[in-house]
Amino acid sequence: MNTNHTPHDPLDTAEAALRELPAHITPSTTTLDRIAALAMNAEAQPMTTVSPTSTARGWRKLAALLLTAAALAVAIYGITQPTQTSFAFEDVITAVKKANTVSYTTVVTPKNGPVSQYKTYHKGTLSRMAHADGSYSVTDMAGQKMLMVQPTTKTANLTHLGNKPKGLPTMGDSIINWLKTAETTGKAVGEKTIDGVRTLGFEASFGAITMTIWSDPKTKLPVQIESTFGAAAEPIQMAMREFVFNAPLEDTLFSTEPPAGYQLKETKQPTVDYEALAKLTPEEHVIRILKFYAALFDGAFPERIDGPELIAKITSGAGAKKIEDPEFMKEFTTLAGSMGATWTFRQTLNKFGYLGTAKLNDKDSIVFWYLPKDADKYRVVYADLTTGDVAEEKLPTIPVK
Amino acid sequence: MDWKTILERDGPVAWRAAYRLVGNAADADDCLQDAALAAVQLSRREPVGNWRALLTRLASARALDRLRQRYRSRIEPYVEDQVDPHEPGDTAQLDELRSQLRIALAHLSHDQAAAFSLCALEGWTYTDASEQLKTPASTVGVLVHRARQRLRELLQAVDPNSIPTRSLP
Repeated sequence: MNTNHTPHDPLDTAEAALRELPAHITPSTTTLDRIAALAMNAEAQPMTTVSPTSTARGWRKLAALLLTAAALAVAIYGITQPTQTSFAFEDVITAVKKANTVSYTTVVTPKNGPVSQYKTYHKGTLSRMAHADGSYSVTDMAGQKMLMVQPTTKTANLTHLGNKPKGLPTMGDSIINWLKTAETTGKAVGEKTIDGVRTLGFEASFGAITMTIWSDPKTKLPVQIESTFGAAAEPIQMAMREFVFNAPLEDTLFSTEPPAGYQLKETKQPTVDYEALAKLTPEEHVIRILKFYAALFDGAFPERIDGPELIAKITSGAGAKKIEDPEFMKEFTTLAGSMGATWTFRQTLNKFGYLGTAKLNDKDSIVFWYLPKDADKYRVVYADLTTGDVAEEKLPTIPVK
Repeated sequence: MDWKTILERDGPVAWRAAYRLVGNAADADDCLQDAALAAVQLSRREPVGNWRALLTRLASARALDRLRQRYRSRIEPYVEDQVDPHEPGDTAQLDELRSQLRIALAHLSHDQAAAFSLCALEGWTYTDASEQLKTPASTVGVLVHRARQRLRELLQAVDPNSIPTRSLP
């Protein structure tokens, strides 16, 4: 089939190596029988209530057990099957939406950094995040304010929040809020026992972040949520655990009044014109991000163009002086809107790429590309921040790491 | 639907297609399972004329998704099954080459990877693939051609002298 090759072509050899599998590499009869049974079971269910299943690995273990009790195999399979398949990710979303209050502990473990831990409480539009050093923040979304309290310096900062995009959770919103707005159908990833509770896991993507939500089949509520994000070379692992739902939480936990004797500083977050931002094209958002970043980092581009690590990088690169400059903060806050837009449109674009290895004004280097709907050429952004349309074969190759 | 017969007849071909891509039996099991469940849904919407082709296409697509996930997230080191433990010399080099190709496949576009896996690895004609991928045969040909171009670029770092000139029996 392939006529365009050279002798010892690595691709031809690799193709042949994959293609010519030895004949003994086949699925087991047990596997085929199990999958046939699952298919029959799925077919027997109503079309609107297709439920996820355990992973094959989980079933392999179950199959091994069943084989040791051959006489009971069929009966046990028939009995256990309904309980395995009666639980879907949508049930988790529904259960979370019904919760009045929730508290949980988040543990963040960077590959090359110290572990941090904090506890979060939610009650309606109120939330509190408490850190191990005694510092905490309280956010009142309805009242549009956030209080940050630092006991070591006896200082408190009250921020009057700006507006936020209507109906859309931002990257700064909690995982729980993301879950509440999720429209995704999670993929079943099997079972796991956490603190003595048998849970079922679902993998769901929210923008660029993929999370695994382990839930109790009895309550459908999360027991643990795990995620890995950040650069591939230095991933950050995050786990939310010790969930408590619907416990009474005192209003005093969510007070935005500073503690007595604390020095109070008030700041006002700039207002962002999200309607104007919504009219920008994906490439215009990306150009804004690249331009802003390159100005701070001597013409370099970021490794990623969305995500919390980009905000952290910009914050550290700008330094404390700029962060206190209202003009800079206004620009930065507006830029965060573009980051949010980038985050959002990534969910809708199948053909999309970013390679931030070039520097500002490298004229012919393509940095960002995507395929607009019904288009046959890609929209691209060059490193000199000009745009163009190119065919797929002209796109850069992202190096295999 | 007689799923037992369908799986016994067509399951092994679809499973092997997934195995070629993911490189281990456990993941291939998962891919075939996902493919069968997706086929159940699909068969409710339209009649299925060729179960083998459908299961193979779906299992390959699931396997490619896993490859992308595996080489994108890189959360855990991944263990692939040793295909032939009786030829340690060649196997080590071929395993490396298979692994390189799998990583490269994870970096192709969905369309290119699907067309390449069905035509180049499964031996489908462009016409067969066009029916399953619901795209003209000429487009399938272009996709396979571009996939090969991109894969060659991605594999160019592999030293040709290190590659054995024959593949496994």
